Amino acid sequence: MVRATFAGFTTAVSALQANQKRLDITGHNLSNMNTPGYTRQALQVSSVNYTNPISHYMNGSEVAVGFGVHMDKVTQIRDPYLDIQYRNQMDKSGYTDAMQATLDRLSDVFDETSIQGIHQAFLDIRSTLENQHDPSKVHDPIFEAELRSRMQTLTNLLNDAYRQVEEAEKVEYSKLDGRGTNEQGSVEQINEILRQIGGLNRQIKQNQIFGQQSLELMDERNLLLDKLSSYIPIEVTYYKDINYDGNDDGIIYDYDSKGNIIGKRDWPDDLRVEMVYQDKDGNTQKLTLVEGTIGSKDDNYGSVAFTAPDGYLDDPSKTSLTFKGFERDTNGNLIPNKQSITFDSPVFTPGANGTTAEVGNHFADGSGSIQSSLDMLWKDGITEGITDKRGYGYYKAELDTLAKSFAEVINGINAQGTQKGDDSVLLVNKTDDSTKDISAKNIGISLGWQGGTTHIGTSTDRNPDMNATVLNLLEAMKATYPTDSFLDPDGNKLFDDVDLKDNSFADYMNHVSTILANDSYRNATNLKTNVTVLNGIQNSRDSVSGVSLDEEASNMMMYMSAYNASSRLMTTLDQALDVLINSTGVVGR
Amino acid sequence: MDQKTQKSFEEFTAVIQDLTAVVADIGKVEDAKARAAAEKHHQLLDGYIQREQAQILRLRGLEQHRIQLAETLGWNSLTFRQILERAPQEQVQVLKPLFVQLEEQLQQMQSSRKSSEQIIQVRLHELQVAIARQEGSSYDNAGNVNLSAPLHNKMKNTYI
Repeated sequence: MVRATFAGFTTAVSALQANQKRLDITGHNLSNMNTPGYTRQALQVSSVNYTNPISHYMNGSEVAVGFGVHMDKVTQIRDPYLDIQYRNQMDKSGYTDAMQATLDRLSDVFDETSIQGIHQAFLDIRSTLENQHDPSKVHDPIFEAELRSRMQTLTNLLNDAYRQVEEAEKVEYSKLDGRGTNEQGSVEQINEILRQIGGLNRQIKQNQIFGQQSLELMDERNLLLDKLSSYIPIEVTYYKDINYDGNDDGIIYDYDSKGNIIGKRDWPDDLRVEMVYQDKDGNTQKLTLVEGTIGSKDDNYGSVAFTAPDGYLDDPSKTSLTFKGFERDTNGNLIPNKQSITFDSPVFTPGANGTTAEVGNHFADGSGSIQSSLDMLWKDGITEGITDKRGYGYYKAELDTLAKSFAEVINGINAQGTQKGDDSVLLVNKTDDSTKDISAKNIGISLGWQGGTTHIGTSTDRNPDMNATVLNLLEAMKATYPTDSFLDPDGNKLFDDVDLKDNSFADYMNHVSTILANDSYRNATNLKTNVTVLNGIQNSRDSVSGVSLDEEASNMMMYMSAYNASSRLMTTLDQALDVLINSTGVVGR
Repeated sequence: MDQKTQKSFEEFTAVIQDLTAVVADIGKVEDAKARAAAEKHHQLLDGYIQREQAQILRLRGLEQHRIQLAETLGWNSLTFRQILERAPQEQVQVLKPLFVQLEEQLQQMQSSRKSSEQIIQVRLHELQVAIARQEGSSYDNAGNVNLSAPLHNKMKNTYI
């Protein structure tokens, strides 16, 4: 086989072109050094050889030499393992970050270290009772008015604390449902991300089939996947759709008019996004939220919505989400119609040993900001089955316990010191001025006490001392509950069901705020560790995918040298040709 | 409750408290391990691992003791929840907060352990990749090193 006269030039041109392209890519990398989500690019090349075997007739001493370099494609330098780890860590950080914001909001209500709050209000009542217990002052309306005013302050603070917890709960809900706020809720953001990923899947694949790598679009998609992983736990898979040309070899061929193969390319990968969740039995399940490019237009991605179309602003603890996506049958084949998976609020079942709660579908503990919101909205930390997280229900229940217990004790003691038949109720449910269903939200001063028809008891047959009621009230303020200190005239224990976990009324607020502080401390520690680990993985990922100034600078010099060498090769080939044409066989001319 | 049972019960509660403290300490070590690995202070890891091993030995000892005491109290092989269902009310009042605390510390420790395992796996992966690059191996999408296949970014022959 005779070598083509200008074959060497083709080799030199391919080298010049490849090195020129490498320099272009280096420039592109450097210019995008600070672009968020940008992935370092590199040229993938291969050496060009003959496909046919060496000719049967050629000289045996001939050696096959290639024809330079072929530019295969521009690739991104990414490490899939680090992407997986980064997204796993994102969902943990997303959970703890969202949880910390929630606990901080609750701390604003319960942290009374720098304000005169409920704890101080109880101490003020105690102080007033200490001033009033002298028999000469028991009838003094000024002292009674002062006590009423203190009680009013306390009930207002309890009402306000409950209202603030409710507000915080609604803010939590609004994080999921942006309706009525000026920000998008998480549900809407997830839908927007899924829509964009679904669209990018189509755009990228279409471009890649026509030979455009669409690397920038892939960066955009990767950023969206990172963002999605902070909301919900996901798994991302790249796969090849085998139905593209009937040949399951992952390659597409370009043919000439006679049907000969003139080129081949890799068939582009499709991308699948699966949501990983747990069913009520704790088994891990998956729902495909984005399935490559199946169907047309919006067919390839799922969605999430509130199960009740109007949402749950009136009762956020009932929040239920429905995810729509693709499931697989027992053989692992995709079911083409989208299926709905509902994340319902816990189901409460009364039983002989108390009420138990069962959580249905949910994300694994500590996975994503959505689960953080659901945990806080769903779990009261008290009912069996949902004790692992102390959500808004817990803090509302604690305030209710305090308000109800206080009203029961105060009203009970005053009843002991009031003549039978006289009105003795001091603290009531404001909504109907009764002692029924008193809670932190509705506790208030009775209309009778406000109007001067009800008073602090002064003496009865049962309790002849004028100041006995005030002394008992003072004792009640100092006592820790449960207590055996109070008995009715028949010797039966009073306030048997009042349990403040061995705290006095004043200290109970400290007890609740200590629990909150402990939860917050633990979560803050987790958050700090999660963010440090996330940054560690991010740095690791950047060292692979990010643009390094040093590396690009050294590449630039290397490619420039290679470019110079290719140019020099062309000059040398030109000289060789000159020798062949002008100086060969000239002897005797 | 007779005196012997009372003594065993008190010992049992003390063991639960000790277990909680040890678990909390292991959680702190796991946190420190995770941060050291994330910030590439690898020289600290050896010390943390030794400290953790000592705590794990202590944990095993306490767990053995807990099992023995549970047998004495008639709670052989029972979970904490089952104990709370069967124990007398006055014991439940003492045990419940202790079990809750222990459970909370266990959750905290498991979360910290997952974080430290994850970042250590990432660092090991980096090492594998570095070794693979030197030896001309590659790794697949799951991050497993494939010693026989060439690296993707190495030049390869393509026939056209």
